[in-house]
Formats: sequence, C-alpha cells, structure tokens
Amino acid sequence: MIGLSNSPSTNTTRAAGTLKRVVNIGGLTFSSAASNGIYSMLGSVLSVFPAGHGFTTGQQNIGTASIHVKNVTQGYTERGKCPIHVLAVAGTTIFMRNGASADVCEFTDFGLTNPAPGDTIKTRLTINIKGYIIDVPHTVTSLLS
Amino acid sequence: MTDKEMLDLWLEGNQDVPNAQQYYDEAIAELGL
Repeated sequence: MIGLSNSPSTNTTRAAGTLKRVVNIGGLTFSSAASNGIYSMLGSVLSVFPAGHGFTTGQQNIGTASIHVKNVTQGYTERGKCPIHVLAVAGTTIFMRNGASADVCEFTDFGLTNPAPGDTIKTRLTINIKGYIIDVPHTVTSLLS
Repeated sequence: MTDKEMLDLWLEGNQDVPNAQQYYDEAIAELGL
C-alpha cells in the first residue's frame, strides 16, 4: 500500500529570520489612462515597514513589481515588470508608486501589450523589495475607457 | 499624474480603511503639498 500525505510543506528557500515583514494598508489604487490610444498604468500602495527601514521620501528604485495582467475582454494573460519608488514616508508608513510619470509608465514600458478602449483588465502587482517580505499581492480590476 | 493626484486616488479608493485620512494627511504634509 502506498501512503500519501497532503501535509503542507514547511520547506522554504529563504531564511525567514533575515526577512522583515511589510504589511499593506488598504488596496492598490490604480489609474489606467490613455493618451492618443497609448495606455499607461500608475498605481500607489501604502504599507507599514518595520522601524528603522531607512527609506526616504522620493527615493527611487527601492524594488520592483511583477505585474500579471489578465485582459478579460481580449482573452490573454501576460507578465511584466516595473520599478517601485517611494512617494512619501511618514514614520513607518510608506506610500509607494510604480512610476514617476505617465510617459514612463506605458503598458509597453513594462513589457505589456497596449490594451484597447473597453477592455476589462485584472492586474496583480507583486512588490519585491530586497530584505523584506510583503504580505500579499495587490489586485485590481479596471474597465478601460 | 501629480503626487497629490496619486494620493487623492489612493484616498478615494481606500475610504473604508481605518485612519485613511490620517495617512493621506501625513503624506501630504511630508510632501509639503
């Protein structure tokens, strides 16, 4: 007889003690606007970092975000990547954003297909910052105008 | 989109978050807006 076990694995590839936990406050807010048919995506999130994080207001490129886009209307999914910047620091709470301005945050800048007006897209943003573990990915659904 | 517009958007989308207005106000103050 073969014994099967469905116990969840407790193995990890990272030493948990070396990673500091970041907790999100609220959800991702996201603007997908078009200029001459070219869509950009600008998002911001608020997270609580451990004391002594050392980040400063306006600091650039503190990490990256993996972007997973499902275009429900067109029926495709794809992945991209974008830099993460600090928008504002207030103590241990930090607003982060995914780009400095719309002209450098076009879908194609992040390796994504430019969507079409009327498309519904589901976007999942997973932020990665070296030395930190961030509790859950951010997701948002947008109907493009 | 300006920094303020981005924060405005965050506040609008997170009205149900406890202390959302306080987080927003602190960020606005930090940015000197």
